[in-house]
This record gives sequence, C-alpha cells and structure tokens, in this order.
Amino acid sequence: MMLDIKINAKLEELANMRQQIMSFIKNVSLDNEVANLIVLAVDEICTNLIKYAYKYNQNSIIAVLVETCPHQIIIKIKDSAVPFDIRQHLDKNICEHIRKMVPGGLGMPLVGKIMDEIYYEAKNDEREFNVLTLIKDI
Amino acid sequence: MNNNKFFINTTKEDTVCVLHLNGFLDALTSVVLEEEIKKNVDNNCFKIILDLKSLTYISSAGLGVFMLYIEKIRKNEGDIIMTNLSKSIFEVMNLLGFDEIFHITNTVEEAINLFNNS
Repeated sequence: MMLDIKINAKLEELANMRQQIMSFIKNVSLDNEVANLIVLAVDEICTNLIKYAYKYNQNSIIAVLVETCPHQIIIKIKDSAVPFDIRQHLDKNICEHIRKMVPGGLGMPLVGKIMDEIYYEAKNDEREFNVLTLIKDI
Repeated sequence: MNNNKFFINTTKEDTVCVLHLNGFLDALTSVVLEEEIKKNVDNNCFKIILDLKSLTYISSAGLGVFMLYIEKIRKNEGDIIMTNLSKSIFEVMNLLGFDEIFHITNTVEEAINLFNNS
C-alpha cells in the first residue's frame, strides 16, 4: 500500500500531513508509540526543509511517499532545494548536548534515533529532486 | 479534529505556576509555549509545572522550548517539572534523555510536593 502526499513549504501544512500519515500507517498493526515516532520523524524532516532548505518559500513543494511492507515502513521525502545530506547531522551523542542544556538542533538526531535506515540521493543533472529515504523495521 | 490546535491554561498554586498544555506542540505552535513560559519568568515565577495530560503530540521544536529558559529558571532557585506524560510523549523524551535532566512526576500534586519539599 502506498500513500502519496504533496505539501507546500509552510508549517501550517504539517498537521494535516501528520494526520494523513498516522491514518495510513494505522492500517498496519503498529503500537501507537511506534506510529507516533514514525510520524514525528517525517514531521522533523519536513520542518527542516520548510525552515532551512526552502526558507519558508510557500510555493515550494515537498512530496512524501509512504509505503507499508510486511516488515518495514518505507518513507521517501522529495524536495528540490539545495541538497543537504542530513546523515551528517544525526549525532547519536545528542544526550550529552541536552545535558549541557543547549536548545535547538534536536530534530535530526531524533530522526536518527527513530529510523533504522536512512539514505540520501542528491538531485543532479538526471534527477530533479533530492530524495531522502527513511526505513523503519516493524 | 483540528490538529493545528494548541493552547495553554495557566493556574497558580502559591508560588508555583502550573501550565496545562493542550493539543499539538510542533514547529508552528511552539511559539505559544515559549511566550507563556517567558511571561511567567518575567513575572518572577520560577517554579513551573508543565501538565502534559492533554498534550497529544510533541516535536523537537516543543522540546527545545523546555530548554530555552531552564538555565535562568534554575539560577533563580526554580525548576521545570513535567507531569502526566502519555506513553507516546514519554517515549519521545526518553529517546533524547530528557527524563534524565527534568523531573517527571505522575501528577500535578506530586510535582507541587516536590517543589514544596525542595
């Protein structure tokens, strides 16, 4: 099964996107907590794209594709902004950062802790979009 | 269901401010919490309880707000105590180790007692 969502790059669109993804993945037998974490990971990525990649340019588009497989949920997030490989920012030592009470910078490490596999393909002459793939084993 | 919705009801128990958070706390709505904590800190209320009983969702933007004023609050012999966390909200906090740096209680009354006994 596949869910295909497109949103404009505005924070007001996140709530509806979260609701659609939650309804879709609830078709798979998932704990509420796990479903919430998957939705949260997508929310964090899209928030980052809206704020930092698209710089709140509301005409820009983010495409989110969610696929449920028997043992995995696969999410592809496509954007056309300047490529940014989040895998460089998944600092697993975020707890130390938090102990020092430094606000901000929590989103990408959170995604790293939630997802099992993360891949990134930057746009190029042959590919129009950057594609971030998030995989959660279930 | 409007899941853009977030609002706060604030009550006061002697010197303790209790912020009852309702709805969805994300990048869009976190400014509401930031303003409310700032307002209380500006009014010299440094003992703050965040009642998360009716909080449905939290993202890192909301978690970031918890850290924004904590240094100033603790310097003024106060603290932020979180209470009534759902399993989903606790799971998110636990992933980032928030449960190690913030007091978490089961009820508002326990949080008030923690302040009164400290």
